[in-house]
Amino acid sequence: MNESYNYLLKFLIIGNAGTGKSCLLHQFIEGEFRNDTTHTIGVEFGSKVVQVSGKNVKLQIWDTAGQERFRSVTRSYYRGAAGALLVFDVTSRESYNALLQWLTDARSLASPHIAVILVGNKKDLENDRQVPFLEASRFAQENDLTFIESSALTGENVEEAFLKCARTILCKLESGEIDAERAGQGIQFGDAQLRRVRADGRKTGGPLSNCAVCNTS
Amino acid sequence: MSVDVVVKNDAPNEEDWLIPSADVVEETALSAPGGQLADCFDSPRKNTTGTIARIEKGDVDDSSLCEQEDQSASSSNEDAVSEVDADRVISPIEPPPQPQRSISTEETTDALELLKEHGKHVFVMSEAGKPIYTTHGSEEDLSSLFALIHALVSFTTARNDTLDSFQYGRLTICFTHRGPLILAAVSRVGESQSQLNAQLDLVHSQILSVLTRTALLRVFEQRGHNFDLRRLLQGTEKSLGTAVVAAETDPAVGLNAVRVLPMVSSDRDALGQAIVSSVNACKVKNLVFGVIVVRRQLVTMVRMKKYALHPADLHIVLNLVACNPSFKNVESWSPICLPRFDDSGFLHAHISYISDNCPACLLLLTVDRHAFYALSEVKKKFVEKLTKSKSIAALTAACNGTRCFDLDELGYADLWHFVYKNRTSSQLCSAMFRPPFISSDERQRLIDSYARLVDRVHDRGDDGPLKILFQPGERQTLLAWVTPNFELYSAFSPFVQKQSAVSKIDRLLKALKKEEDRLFLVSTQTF
Ligand SMILES: Nc1nc2c(ncn2[C@@H]2O[C@H](COP(=O)(O)OP(=O)(O)OP(=O)(O)O)[C@@H](O)[C@H]2O)c(=O)[nH]1
Ligand SMILES: [Mg+2]
Repeated sequence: MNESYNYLLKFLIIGNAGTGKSCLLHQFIEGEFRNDTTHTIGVEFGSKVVQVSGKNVKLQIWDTAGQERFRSVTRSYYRGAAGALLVFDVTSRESYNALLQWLTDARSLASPHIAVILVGNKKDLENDRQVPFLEASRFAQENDLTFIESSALTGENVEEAFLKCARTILCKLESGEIDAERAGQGIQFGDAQLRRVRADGRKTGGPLSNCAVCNTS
Repeated sequence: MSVDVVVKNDAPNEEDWLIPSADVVEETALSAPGGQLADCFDSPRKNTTGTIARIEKGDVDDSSLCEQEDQSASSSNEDAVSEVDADRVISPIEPPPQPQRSISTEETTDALELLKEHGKHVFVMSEAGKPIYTTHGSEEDLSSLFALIHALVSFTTARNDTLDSFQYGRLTICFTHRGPLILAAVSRVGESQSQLNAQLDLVHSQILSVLTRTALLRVFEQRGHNFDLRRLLQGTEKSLGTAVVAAETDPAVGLNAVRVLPMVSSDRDALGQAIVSSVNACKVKNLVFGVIVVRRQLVTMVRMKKYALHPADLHIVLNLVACNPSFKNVESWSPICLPRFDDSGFLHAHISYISDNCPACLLLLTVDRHAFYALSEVKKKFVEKLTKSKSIAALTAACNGTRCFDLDELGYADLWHFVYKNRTSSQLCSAMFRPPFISSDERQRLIDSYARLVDRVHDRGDDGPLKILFQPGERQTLLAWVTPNFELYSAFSPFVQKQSAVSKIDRLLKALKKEEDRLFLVSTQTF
């Protein structure tokens, strides 16, 4: 059962209620559409190890409730997230209009460096579309986000959304834009990475001590 | 035709209960609405999902909902506070206060006619008369009723009086005023006032469980009496509806008791021990309760030494699990306020099913909102322990086994059914339904008769409850027996003689005593 991995990343899924956040998580982890969903109460939790540029990355995913009454509670879970899927429903303009607020929340409460992927979900419902692709992609550009449209129903672009987000974080790591050794970035080294680090002859004490060793899943 | 109170003597002493001196009351059966009722009351009988009316756009200014909050908030109480703070910032344009409506008799009669379509309605409104929730129909259809209820309650309140209930033909209308909310139940199925009160109480607790009392009070304080609470209750229609149904169909709610899954006591103890040792192994502090439930029944419970879990709070937990099938296959981390425990703040619950093959659900409740990963470890450890010790098989078997007492084992043909409540532990055990209670109508009718029986036994002012009540009837003969330690309500064939009924109950009590540690949770482990 032991999965070894190089990095452990905390992800958030945020966005209005009913946009399909829980369905995206389920599709990503189980590979199927879940049609018995009810509104999430608080948060639902899932994890999966994926391969990103030759590395094993374990994603710890917090799927938050979109309903207003949970807003203050779920915000307290943002801290330490490295990435977020910011989800809206392409058939709901209301969910699109709320994006900026969700984004502000994520950047201020998680980390200013949080990697956010904008996900326009339910793209299978082309006939009911209220938010044109171009409009959303302009919004993404203006706010420095990567944009993707997905369908939790058909599975289209679901894995891609999570992988894109993980890739962005690893790129930032490699370019030195973010530093995994600093606390609060939502990145921890896994066993495999630590071994590699040791083999490289770098010190594992000191700065690494705030990167807890997470050896099993 | 109904013959009330035929014979009325003094309540018997416990020693002379064999002397035929108990109250004898003839009762005509009242009709009850249809629906399905499972063997153990756990399936919704009616579709009372209800509505929280749609919120018009423009009512909510989304752009200010996500106002920055103080990140240092760490005590659970501050959840409630910050929720309200966020609200205050929004300050949308309040609709102008509605002019005081005058209600014509005609309008009132129309509204009451509307009620006849359904056996029961529950209404929740603000003190300003703003509709918040109704079990059936839309707020528009029922606006005149909301206005009527509000007028009645305001009228009496203004005169420093309270309105508890009144009859209108066959309708019983019951009120509960718990600032800042007014609740009312309208029933035409002959439910007793105490039964209706229990339902309103559960609905009220259910609302508190998602908001906390502190937040509820503050939101009206800060946003004004016209604040539309439906905004904060969106998505809770189902759990409110389920609470109403549970209160109707499960005598445990009205009796303020909890149903326990029958299980070999050593297996049950092993579960509690496994939770406690997993918690200790993971060095988790701040865990308040650990609970295992399955289909509205308690399997076991562990608790922090100084706290007890009130049955009303446990019903909130049971309802939460029953209403959210999506807890299956995932780990959830949910805020929940248990009003009897602390109505000012949230507990945080780690919720997960024990395994794919085992329908039982484990809830770990803590005051520490950051304990998710720690509790996730506890759960993992717990499942490891269960798997190693084969307890998981025992638990699964118990979940799939009989969930009630099987009267066939006693072999009394004319003892048809019973409900037994241990008054010390507030735990409840009932018989499996058997003929003649086959259809859900017949079962519900029996439950309704029990409710009236409970009322008759307890609603005696300063006289204290009756000890024994023998009540022959056309459909069945009912016998209630109440002592400081237990309450027992039973149904016999209409032909049973009192002596014989009482001696059978005596034997039943002995049987229950003998099986006590299988039918009830006799001890809870603490940490
Ligand atoms: N057609 C279509 N429907 C979807 C898709 N994703 C989700 N849905 C539906 O949208 C509804 C809401 O989905 P959820 O995943 O529960 O929404 P959520 O964002 O988790 O909502 P909250 O938990 O309340 O925040 C459900 O009825 C889903 O069946 C999709 O890609 N296509
Ligand atoms: Mg969800």
